[in-house]
Amino acid sequence: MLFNDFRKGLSVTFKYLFKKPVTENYPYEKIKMPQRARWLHHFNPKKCIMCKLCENICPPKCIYMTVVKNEEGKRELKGYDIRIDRCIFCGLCTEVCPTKAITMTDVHEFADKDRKNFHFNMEQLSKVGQEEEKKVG
Amino acid sequence: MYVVIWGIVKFIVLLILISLYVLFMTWFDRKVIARMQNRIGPKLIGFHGLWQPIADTIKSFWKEDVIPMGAYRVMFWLAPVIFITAVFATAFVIPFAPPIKTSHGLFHFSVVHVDVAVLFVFAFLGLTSFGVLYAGIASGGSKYPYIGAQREGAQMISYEIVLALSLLNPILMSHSLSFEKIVEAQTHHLWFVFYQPVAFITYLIAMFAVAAKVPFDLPEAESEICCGYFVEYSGMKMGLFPFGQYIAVLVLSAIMVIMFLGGWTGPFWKGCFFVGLIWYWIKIAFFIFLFTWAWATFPRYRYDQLMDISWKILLPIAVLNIFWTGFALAIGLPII
Repeated sequence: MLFNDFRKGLSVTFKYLFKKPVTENYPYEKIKMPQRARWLHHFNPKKCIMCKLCENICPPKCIYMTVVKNEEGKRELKGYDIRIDRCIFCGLCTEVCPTKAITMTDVHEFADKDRKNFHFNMEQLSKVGQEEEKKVG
Repeated sequence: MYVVIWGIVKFIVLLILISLYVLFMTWFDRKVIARMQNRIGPKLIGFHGLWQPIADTIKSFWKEDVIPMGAYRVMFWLAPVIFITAVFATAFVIPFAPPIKTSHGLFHFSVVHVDVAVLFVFAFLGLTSFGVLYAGIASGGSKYPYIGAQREGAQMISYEIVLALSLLNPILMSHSLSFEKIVEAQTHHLWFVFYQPVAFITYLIAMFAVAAKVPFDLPEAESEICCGYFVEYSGMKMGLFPFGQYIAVLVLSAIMVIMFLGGWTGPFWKGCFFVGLIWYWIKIAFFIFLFTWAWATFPRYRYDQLMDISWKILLPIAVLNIFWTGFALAIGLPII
């Protein structure tokens, strides 16, 4: 039939006119992150055994662990810093951790104009995503 | 004096109406195409993004007005002016509502009422391509505008012929060049689309080409020559080209409705002004929507395909159709 391909094309676009758009209304409605989303780290100092595996495996070397000996001669975790601006969110640190001291949460809205705000220390990391801890851990 | 003042009043009203129409057509286009592609489209400014075109206009006023160093300055300035003037002139003779009877005779809802309205529209539609050609040439040897202008010139020549030839059939059948009389002729019979389906289709195809809209938007093919003839323009001068194009869409749709679909006639009409007004604008709105619809649907034709469609297919069909109409009218076939 003459012009049949035109009719087909037009009917397809006309059907789509009444379909629900797939666009996310993002800044106004938060996106639900998938279950295994890999975003900002949560660090639990109580679980950490100071094996330094995460520091070694990190591809961009953005994890800095400071381990010192205290008066009793035992190793003690002084500092645990992540420079999140260099992090590639590969998740290798969480995979390699034997005690699951470091996990990844779905907190992903931490964009900033100042680089200093991307240096997370142990205290900040331990507070990250506390409400999601159960889900991700 | 009375006529001049009325003309000025009508012109100002037309200017306001057309500007509003173009503003909200950009919104409508973006919204409909977005929905056809499963997107939302503009939605932040105003109710469903309804004030988006106003924000865009304000932005384009504050844009830096760049004129390329090699450009021919006078022609560069004149090109959008010629384009918009010629397109606007076509809208002068388009009736925006059915005429009403007053004590002074018929009152026409068009800025200028002429009995050769079809000729007038064609004269000025032909002139619009001069604006485009000037824009391309005045851009100072910039390649894309030059190619775009050449394409526009060739396309206009090819398709205005088809457009005019397909309109010749209703003109032959109604023995008139005046829009009112052509509509009146269709009240005595069926609409001309039922007598002239071939002319209807050739006009429909040529309409898209003359308005330079998808699938025949070769002069401003974004993916090939990145907006064609107005690449070098910016700010308000650039805005005038799409502005004129939207007016051309309106004018061509209105001619289509008047010539083939009975203008303001329709069921339950019986000479009532408001019913006629509603019928008239429903039909025009459908064709305006058709332009948007096609934009969201079809890919662009290649240049040689464009020329083949015009010269090898549409033109012979249109000429044969005129012969047939003339023959049928001469021997008095019972179609009219």
